[in-house]
Amino acid sequence: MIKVPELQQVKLYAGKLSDLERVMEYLRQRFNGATFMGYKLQNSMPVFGEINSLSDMPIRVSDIQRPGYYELIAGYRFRLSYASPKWYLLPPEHSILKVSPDYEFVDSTNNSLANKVVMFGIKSCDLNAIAVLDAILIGKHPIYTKKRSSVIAIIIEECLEPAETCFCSITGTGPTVLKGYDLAYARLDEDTVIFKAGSTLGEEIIKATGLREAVQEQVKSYYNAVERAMSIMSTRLPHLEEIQKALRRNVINEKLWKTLSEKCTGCGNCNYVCPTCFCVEIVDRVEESYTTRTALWTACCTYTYGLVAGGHFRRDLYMRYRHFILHKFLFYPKQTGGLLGCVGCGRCTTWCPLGLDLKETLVKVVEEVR
Amino acid sequence: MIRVLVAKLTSCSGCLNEVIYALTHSDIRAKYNVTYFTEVLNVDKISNAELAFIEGSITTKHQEEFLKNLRSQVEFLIALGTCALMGGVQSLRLEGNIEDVKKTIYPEPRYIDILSEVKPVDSVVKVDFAIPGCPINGDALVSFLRKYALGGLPVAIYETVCSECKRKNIPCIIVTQKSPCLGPITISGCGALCPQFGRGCYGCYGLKFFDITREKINALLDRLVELKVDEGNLKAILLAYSFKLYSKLKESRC
Ligand code: SF4
Ligand code: SF4
Ligand code: SF4
Ligand code: SF4
Ligand code: SF4
Repeated sequence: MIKVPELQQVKLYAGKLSDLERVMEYLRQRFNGATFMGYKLQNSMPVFGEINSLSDMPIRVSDIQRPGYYELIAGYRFRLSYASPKWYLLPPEHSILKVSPDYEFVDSTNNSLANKVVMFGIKSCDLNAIAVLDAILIGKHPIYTKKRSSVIAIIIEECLEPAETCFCSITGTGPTVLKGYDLAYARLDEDTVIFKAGSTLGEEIIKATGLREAVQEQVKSYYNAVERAMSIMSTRLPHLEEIQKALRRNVINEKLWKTLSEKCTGCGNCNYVCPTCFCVEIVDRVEESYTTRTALWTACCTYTYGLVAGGHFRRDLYMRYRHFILHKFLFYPKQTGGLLGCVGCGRCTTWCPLGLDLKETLVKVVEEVR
Repeated sequence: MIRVLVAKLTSCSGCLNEVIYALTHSDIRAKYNVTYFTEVLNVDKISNAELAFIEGSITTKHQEEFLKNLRSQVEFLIALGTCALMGGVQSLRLEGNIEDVKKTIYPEPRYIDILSEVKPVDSVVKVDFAIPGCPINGDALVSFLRKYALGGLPVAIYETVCSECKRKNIPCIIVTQKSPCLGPITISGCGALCPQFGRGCYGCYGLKFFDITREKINALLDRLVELKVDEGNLKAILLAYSFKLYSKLKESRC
């Protein structure tokens, strides 16, 4: 978990929204021809895609999130939408192989990839989710590897007020960042923006845009806000160790998992919107000219998952719902060399059409032990 | 060339239109020879074939015999669409008395010779492959025909409309608009056609036949009733598009 004192070793700079605009401008010139990817408003909904200017971004809205509920109102506290950097790095549908009618193979991993990408305004939880995907897919998934290596700069927007569904301070993945980024900014109020550098590129940006060091009062209110955000989230769940211990003890508690997944219909929304879910299924699309072998996002909560030649190893839905939770909290660390599979973003909860709440599930598992 | 029969029972011909669409592809025409298809060919005698496509459900004694005879002449039978698989919208009449139903439509109901039930194709003959939809997705049929011609079959993928909806980058309309949607319990295949146009799924591909219990349906219905949707209407829709499964779940309350 990030401690506020650790953060205090970083120098803070202050500016206005217009300075953020200048940061973007500077990066555009610095990386001529780069594509900027981030949250952008499309038909009044924040999606993940190419941004051309600050005005494309959800900078004048706040999101209201509850289990199964999402709304945008006027404000300056945008946290998340269903989308995440995964939409760029591991697209929902990607072709992995093309074959001609004469069985001639065509490399289809090359086409239409941007060669330089700046991630702009992604969240601390998003950055941690990318680290999880990296640990699992780099060098193993050719498209992910190519897309990931196209990312040349990462600019983070820190949250000073979490959404109702967020719990990144529990998973140690936010709301502030310590490493793995170039520049981070946080919106102290509607127009005041606090900046910090996370790399030499970040320092260069700060220098080039002439940002001034934050005054003591700004520094204080930034840390106060961070602390407040973290303490709000810390009341939402028990400690991670306690959650993991309770999960371990309840792996074979069939009755508990059946109750917890009572309302789950196995629709898979939780998996698709989760920024660290990476499972795909493979389909062959036979066309008149080429046949394409395509990878599609799949979901461990759907019946497809666990279906193998000759049988099904997680036939009952409760087993798949359980797997989803256990994978995030117990199995990912084994796969990633220690990283948790859940970054506390709450997307699975907000975007579950049935309103199943991950936090509630975890609390109930812990209560079962207590 | 692979010999094919295309037959219709009680249905609207919507799925047959998709068969015609599939046959507009020249590579498919080059491999298949349709020998019986009353909507298109002037042939009224059934002869041996490799494949048969059946649209519609059984609502008369005659249809039942016709289907049994057809099954004995083909190697591989494919049921097309919600009527063939679930019963179809004609199942709505099962809520009432059959004689009353006849009277509401026909001036001389005594001439109407129909069964009191509505039977999906698999309740009468063996079905080898099913393509859901109301109507079916023409591209699913094209894909089937291309793979079958190569000696294979499409791999069945068990998902709901939500899977296709998310992969198409559509924000959930239950979550963002408080609009009703049956996507979470409806089998995939349409490509999330309705949510793509900002409208809820009304389940025309039918309930998914895996993972679903009465409780799960109720959990979604409760959620939709919270969004001020009339429960009676939702149940009528489930009966119309998913009669075979929904009526069973209704009895067992599993
Ligand atoms: S989104 Fe909700 S209903 Fe759908 S699979 Fe996940 S937990 Fe179950
Ligand atoms: S499991 Fe839920 S809260 Fe955790 S990272 Fe995935 S979507 Fe976010
Ligand atoms: S989980 Fe944390 S970093 Fe992510 S949106 Fe919520 S508060 Fe921000
Ligand atoms: S709009 Fe309907 S189909 Fe799409 S995710 Fe929501 S419930 Fe599922
Ligand atoms: S979204 Fe639902 S109602 Fe619309 S076409 Fe697809 S299955 Fe049918």
